[in-house]
Amino acid sequence: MKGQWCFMAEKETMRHGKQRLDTGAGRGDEETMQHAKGGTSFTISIGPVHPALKEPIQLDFEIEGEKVKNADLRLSQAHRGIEWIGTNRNPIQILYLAERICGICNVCHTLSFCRAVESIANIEVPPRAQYIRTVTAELERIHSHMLWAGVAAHELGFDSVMHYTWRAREKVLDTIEILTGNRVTKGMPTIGGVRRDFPEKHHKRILETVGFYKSIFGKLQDMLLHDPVIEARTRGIGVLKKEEALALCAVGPTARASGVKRDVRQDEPYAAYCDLGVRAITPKEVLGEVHGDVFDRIAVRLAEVAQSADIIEHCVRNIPEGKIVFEEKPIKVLAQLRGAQGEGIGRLEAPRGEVFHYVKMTGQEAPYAWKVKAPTYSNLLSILPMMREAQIADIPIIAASIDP
Amino acid sequence: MKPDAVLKDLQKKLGANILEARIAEHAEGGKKKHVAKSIWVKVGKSAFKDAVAELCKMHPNIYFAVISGCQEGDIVELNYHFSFNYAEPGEEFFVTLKVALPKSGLSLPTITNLVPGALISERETQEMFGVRIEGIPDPRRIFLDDGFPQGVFPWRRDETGPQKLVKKINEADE
Repeated sequence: MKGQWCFMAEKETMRHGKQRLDTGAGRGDEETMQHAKGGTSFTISIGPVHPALKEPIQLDFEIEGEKVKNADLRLSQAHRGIEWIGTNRNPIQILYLAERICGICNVCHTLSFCRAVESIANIEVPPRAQYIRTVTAELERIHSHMLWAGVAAHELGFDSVMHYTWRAREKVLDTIEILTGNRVTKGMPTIGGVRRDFPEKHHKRILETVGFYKSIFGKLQDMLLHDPVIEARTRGIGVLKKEEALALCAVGPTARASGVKRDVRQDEPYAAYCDLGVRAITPKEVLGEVHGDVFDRIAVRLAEVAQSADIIEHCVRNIPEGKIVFEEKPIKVLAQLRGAQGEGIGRLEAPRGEVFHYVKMTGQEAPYAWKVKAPTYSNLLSILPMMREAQIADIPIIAASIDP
Repeated sequence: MKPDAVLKDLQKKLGANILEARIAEHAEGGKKKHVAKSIWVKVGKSAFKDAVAELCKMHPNIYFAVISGCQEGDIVELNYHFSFNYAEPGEEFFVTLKVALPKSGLSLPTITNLVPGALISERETQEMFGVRIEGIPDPRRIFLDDGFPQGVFPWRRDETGPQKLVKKINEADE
C-alpha cells in the first residue's frame, strides 16, 4: 500500500520533461497548460488564486484528454503560525485567536480549546452553559451547511439555487447577531462556560428560526436532491469508497457520505449532546443506499440541517436554569489556570468534521504547546481518489464537496 | 475493546518498552454526564513502530487524528493521537502514543504503510520539528513555502525556532 495514497511526487509531475508553469497568481489567467513532449498528458495548475477556489491553495492536475489522471496539492500559501503565537498568550487571549482560525466554525475552535483546557484544570462547566454552547454550535452548523449548499450550486453553475440558499442563510445570521452581537464571529465560549446568556425573550426568536428552516426543508430537498441537472452533475462524481475514507482517516460529512458512521457528537458526546442521543447521518438513512459521491455529500449535509434544527429546538425547550460560567472574573480563571499542569485533548464535531486541539500546560501563564487540527486537514488526502478519472469540468465541485 | 483492555494488551506485547502509561478521565455534559477516557502511553523510540502495529492489529481501521508535540531542552517529544471505537455511540476513546527523541537522533519510521492517512501529519512534523521521517513516501514540505528558510523549525523553542523571523513592531526598518 506504500505510496498508493500519496500526491504525485515532484519528479512524476515533471516526467516527459515537462515544466510546470505558474498560474501567475492574481493576473487573472485561468489555467496555464503546457503540452507534454512526446506524450498526450498535460499538467494544469489551478490556484493559488483562482475563481473556483475559496482559499489560497494550488492544485496541480495531470490530465489525459478530458480526464484527470493524478492530482497534487500545495497548501503553503496561508501558514500564519497561529499555534506559535498562541504559545506566547494566556488562555483567555487564545480564545480570540482560536476564534479566528476559521471564519465559519469559530465556535468550534474556541470550544475545542476550552474543552482541552477544562480537562487539564478539571473545570466543571454549568449545565446551562453546555446547552447554550450546543445551541450556538448548531446554529453555526446550519449557517455553514447553507453557505456550502450555495457554494456547491455555484460550482455547478446553478446560481439561482445559490441565491435562494444564501438568502435563506440570512435568517440564521440575523438570529446569531441578536443572540451574540455579531453575525459571524460569535465570541460565545469561554473557559468554564459561555460569555452571554440566552434570555427568555430570545427563545422565541430561536424557535422561529428553527421553524423557518423546517418549513423550507422540503423546498431545499426539491432543489438540491430532486433536480435532474444537479443529479446528473453529481451522481457518480468524486466517489470516495468507504474503505478509502477509513484508510485516509476522513472525517465529518465527507466520511459519513461514504458510509462511515462517525460523528463526535455520537461517539464521544460532549456539552448537551449527552442528553440528546445524536446519531450520525449517512446516505443510507436519507436515500437508502450509499454511493460516496458528491450527491451523497449534498444529501448528508442537507439532512444535518434538519437534524441541527431538531437539536436546537430540544435544547431551547429544555434548557436548565443556573449559572452560565463557573467563574465570571477572567482574572480568577487565569489564576486557577496558572496552577494547572498536564496535557489535554479538546475535540468536537464542527460542520466540516472533527476539530482537534491538543494543549500542554506547565504551570506557566501561556500553554507550553498547542496543536490545532481542523477538519479539512484530515480530508485533504481524500481529494486524490475523488479526483482520479474525473472530468476537468467536475474539478470545482469535487474540490468544493469536502467543504475545504 | 475497553481502554483498560487496550492498555493491558499493549503492556503485555511491549513489556519494558512502555516507559509510562496512564488512563485519564474527564466527565462532561448537560444533565447527564459522559466520562471521556483517554490513554497516554510513552514508548521507547525502538518500540514505536511495534506499538503502532499492535494498535492497528487491535483495531483494523484505526483512526489517526494528528501528530502533536513540543521541544523541551534536548528532547523533542511527539504525540501520535489515535482513536478507538469510533462509530460506536459513547464508546470512542483516544490512545496517544508519546515518543521522546533526543536532538542528536531526530528520526522516526513512517507509519503510512499501516495508517495511510498519517501522511500529511508526517510531512508537517518533518518541516515543523525537523524530525526526519524514515521511509516517508512524499517528503516534500506541506504547510511551509519552499522559500521558507531551511533550518528554521516553527514549533521548536531553541535556536532553530522562528523567533529570528519575527520583526518587533517597534523596530524600524533599517
